[in-house]
Amino acid sequence: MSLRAYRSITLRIGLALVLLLVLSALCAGLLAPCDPLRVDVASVMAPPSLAHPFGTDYLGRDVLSRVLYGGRISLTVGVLAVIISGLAGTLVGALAGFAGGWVDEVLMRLTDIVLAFPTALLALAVMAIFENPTVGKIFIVLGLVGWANIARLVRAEVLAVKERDFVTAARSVGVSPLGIVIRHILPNTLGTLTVALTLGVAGNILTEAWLSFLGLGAQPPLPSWGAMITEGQYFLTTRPWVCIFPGLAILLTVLGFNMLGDGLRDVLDPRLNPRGRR
Amino acid sequence: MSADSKPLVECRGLVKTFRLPALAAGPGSREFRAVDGLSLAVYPGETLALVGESGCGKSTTGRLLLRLEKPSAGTVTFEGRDLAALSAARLRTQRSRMQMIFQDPYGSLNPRLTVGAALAEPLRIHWRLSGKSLRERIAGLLENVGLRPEHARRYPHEFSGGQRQRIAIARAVSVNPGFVVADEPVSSLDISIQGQILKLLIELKKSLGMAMLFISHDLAVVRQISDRVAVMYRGRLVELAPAGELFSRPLHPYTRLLLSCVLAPRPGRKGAPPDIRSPEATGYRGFGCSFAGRCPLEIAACTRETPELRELYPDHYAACLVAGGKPLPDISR
Repeated sequence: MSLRAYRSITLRIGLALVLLLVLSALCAGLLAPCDPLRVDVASVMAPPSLAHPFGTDYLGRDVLSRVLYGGRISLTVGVLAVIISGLAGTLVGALAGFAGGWVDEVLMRLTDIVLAFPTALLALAVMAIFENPTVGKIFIVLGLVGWANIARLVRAEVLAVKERDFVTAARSVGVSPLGIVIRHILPNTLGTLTVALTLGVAGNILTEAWLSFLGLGAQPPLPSWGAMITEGQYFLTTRPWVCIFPGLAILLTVLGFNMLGDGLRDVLDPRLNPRGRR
Repeated sequence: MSADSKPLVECRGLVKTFRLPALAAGPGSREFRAVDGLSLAVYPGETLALVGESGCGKSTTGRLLLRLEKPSAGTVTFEGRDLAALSAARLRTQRSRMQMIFQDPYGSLNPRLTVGAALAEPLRIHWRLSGKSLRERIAGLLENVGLRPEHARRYPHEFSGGQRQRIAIARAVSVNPGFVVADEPVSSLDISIQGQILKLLIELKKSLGMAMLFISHDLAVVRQISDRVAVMYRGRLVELAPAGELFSRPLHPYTRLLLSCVLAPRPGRKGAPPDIRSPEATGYRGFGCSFAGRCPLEIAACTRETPELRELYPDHYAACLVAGGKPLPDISR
């Protein structure tokens, strides 16, 4: 893996971006010049300066600090949602692919129903059911929406791996069906799954951003990137920094995760790999 | 093998049909009979070779005998027990007595398991080994197949094709099965490696006293390893005889055709090439000899009557109306 990993420029850029974002979110407390929630009436809508490198918003809060802390929310939501949808999707997909027959039929039709709804509509509907939307609820919603894609993917992979000789060999050795799925089939779908989950993080961050933009995600005064753009949209032509910096943060994060996912695909996809090299 | 000893594995009237996708089937039958009424017995300790061209149903037969696939009709018995009657759990226990070696050593080993973990699987399941006794058994197995004990820690991709096949063989013999199906175990290997693997199989078979169904299309290989040879054509047995007998006195025209392909080492030589008329579509007619239409000895009865296996010489069976110098009278003319 090491050689190919180094050769893939996409993977390197993606990895660098993601690492940079994760580090800056983790160290937000050290890097941020101000408290992201501190209101400073003296410098409302101040343009970028030495004291406020990204300027301040309509309450005089430091945009740089808010972008840094906002990263925490975005990354947490993205990753947690992917864990939920990854677990649920893998369970459903593996069951459908391995069991086949009516189990497969029922589970896949259920998946189709979830996929048939536009993601946006489904997320909006579920978020609207909650009386007061909070950050904690977003990743549950995203997980509920996201599992269907993972389930389809895992099912397809399981169907392919199931036909390989080493699975027949495991059966002929006397391994139980559960053992075959856990020890022989699922580990061989990890490459594809990793790629899908990485791309899923990017998608989730984007969804969280627009849910917050529409007021259904993180509530003020929490510094979520989507919510920050909402707050800044009325001043876009006159005080663009309030919107531009959180927007750039979303752009870089999504770009980073997408490049990481694409790079991982190049490295992990066995079809692009010569036989036997991983 | 002598007729009075009891068969270890026996199948009767085995049929396996596969449903073809609508487009591939063409007009007529949507079903393809890979195995068509096959009856065969393997006796303890013998090597029975199953030969035939690709697509004739050899591999399917091997999988049916191990019940890795369910037959559409017919029965398979192992040591007198009907495998279809066993529960899933009992069948898994039974699997310690019957194992398989696959053609492609790149596909038959899980790339995510170390060699040691792959070998440990049958030993844990059937012998309930663990800890030191497990490690010792794995080391012993690796040495038996010509590898080193420390290879247990490596992954399959660190080995060559021949070495991988040795690992697959070690896994198959790990719990001392009485019966092994070897599905073209050397045909994906280099010629130079083939000999080594064959030698290993012969040695192991001798020391462990197991019976083997050796599936192959390579008659030169079959000649080295088998006690008896069964020739398959389009899902049916056309000839069954002790190895020496079959090679010196092939009776069925299809067997002769196969042998003539092997025994002509000088391709530039003059002389009529074997008369191979291209086979027609593989639709199942339900009657008549399946080789009719391709057979140089064909008589009118061949397209109407289904030839059964007949014992033309002691222990030498052939399914042909014409072979053996005893053609049946042609009633139609």
